[in-house]
Amino acid sequence: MTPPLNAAVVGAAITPVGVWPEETSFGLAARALTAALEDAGLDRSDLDGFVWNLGRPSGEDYEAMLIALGLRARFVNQFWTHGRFTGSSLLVAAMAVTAGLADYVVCVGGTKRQPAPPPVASFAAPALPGDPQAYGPGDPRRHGLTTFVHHAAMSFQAYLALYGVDRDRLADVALAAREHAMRNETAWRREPLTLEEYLASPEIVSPLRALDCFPFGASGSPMNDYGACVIVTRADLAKSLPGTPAYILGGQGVQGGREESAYFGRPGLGLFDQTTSTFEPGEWDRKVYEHAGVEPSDVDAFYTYDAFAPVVWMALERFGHCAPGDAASWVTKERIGPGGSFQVNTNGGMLSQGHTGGWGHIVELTQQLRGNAGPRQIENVGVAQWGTVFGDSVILSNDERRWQR
Amino acid sequence: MTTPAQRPAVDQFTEYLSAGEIRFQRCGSCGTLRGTLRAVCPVCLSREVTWVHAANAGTIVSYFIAHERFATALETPYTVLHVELDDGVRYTAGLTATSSGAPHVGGRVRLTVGKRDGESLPLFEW
Repeated sequence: MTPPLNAAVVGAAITPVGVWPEETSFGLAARALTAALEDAGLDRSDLDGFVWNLGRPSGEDYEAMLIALGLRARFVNQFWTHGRFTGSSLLVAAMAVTAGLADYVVCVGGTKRQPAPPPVASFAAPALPGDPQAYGPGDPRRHGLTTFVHHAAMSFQAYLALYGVDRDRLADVALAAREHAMRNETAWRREPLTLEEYLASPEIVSPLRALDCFPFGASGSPMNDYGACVIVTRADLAKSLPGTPAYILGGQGVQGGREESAYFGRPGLGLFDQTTSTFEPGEWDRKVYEHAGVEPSDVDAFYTYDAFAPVVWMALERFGHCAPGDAASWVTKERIGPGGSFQVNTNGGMLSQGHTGGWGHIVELTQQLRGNAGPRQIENVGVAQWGTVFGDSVILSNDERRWQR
Repeated sequence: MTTPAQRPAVDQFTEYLSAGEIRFQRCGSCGTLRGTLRAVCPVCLSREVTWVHAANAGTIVSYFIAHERFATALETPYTVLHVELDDGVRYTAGLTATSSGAPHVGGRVRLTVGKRDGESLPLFEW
């Protein structure tokens, strides 16, 4: 059988994540690019494809970035403001090399910390023309449902009520992320974290504590500074390069529509436009396994978007790693933390490495599969999955036979 | 293609609210009731709308309490409820200042025309 994607990741790197006032987006991307090319054993002139996330308005425009990095590309794709299009960026690169639109595509991710968004109720942020809610008196934004953290809290509260679980079980997600981050020198938050400190963390938007969220600091200044690069090429070209290729076995895109309307929540929470408050992984959630030719039980390490800790539970349920409603007891620090039997986000996740939209995770799973993860290296790791609460997934392996089927 | 000039839905909603009424959009073609103001019916894509009274009693599906400000000028703490009204429409709004005690999922609330800074707003109360 022909693999659906003739693609492998052959180089990956990320800068330290944090707040670096002296750095620009261009400088951070250049640092990551240099390191990723060295990892791959490639030269800048080899690259002919460019996938950029995030572009305008959250980041620089692709043209400025290409020129700043001295790159030329015959295939360019720019993703917009959402951090969640990380796996999709990787899939676009894989599709481009599979289709022969480019030979070596570099995916570049990066942000610079921005000022906190203007207060909605002051009308400083105009509605887009044609927005039927238009910040009117019935618009939820006027009632204080303005941003990501509110949606994450709303989804978490619905989940807690549906399954009757103890919210403090979420501690293990934050604690495991921190233990991983303590082994990762690119992570922003590396100081030890205890259960007592977690429980004492203030509820900023109840039921979410500050430590359930990525470290955004004062009142919602979004994101932080980082640059990341991931280089994708065809499998036959990958084999001629020095390192172990991380073959892209298969994937699926971000899912959309009314069942996805619990933002930062999974389907089946009974929120907003969702039609149901029950959940089982759907046909479209399981397709990635068919596409990649693996079973959920083949997955050795799991990487997931975790700007908020509850979505780690929900993503594990969505991809069938534990039953709906069971994540609270299934997810323990011992299981998902360093040395555990099912390690999650060994980079430290966004919760402790910092908000990288997931590029920190993609770089990390590549390094794991290539045997370059240093103190975090998982023994005998063969299959790694990126899978998020938004329904997208990419499965990679260092085993060429798995890729060949 | 010509289409009849349509008043922005938010203006119509606000006018009813100023008169002390909360009215919802009902699709003029397929009859779907919706809590979110929309220009087009997501079920049948019709632009026709009638403005109707809907159930004002409902059950809390979820909520949050903001203790820190994120992109809002509202004073904290404040509560936002997500409620399923008794005719099935889901609606999101704040809570009247007179409703005391903590919300809980499954709790019953009423949707009323409340005031904040002199402006009429749809707010929940219990």
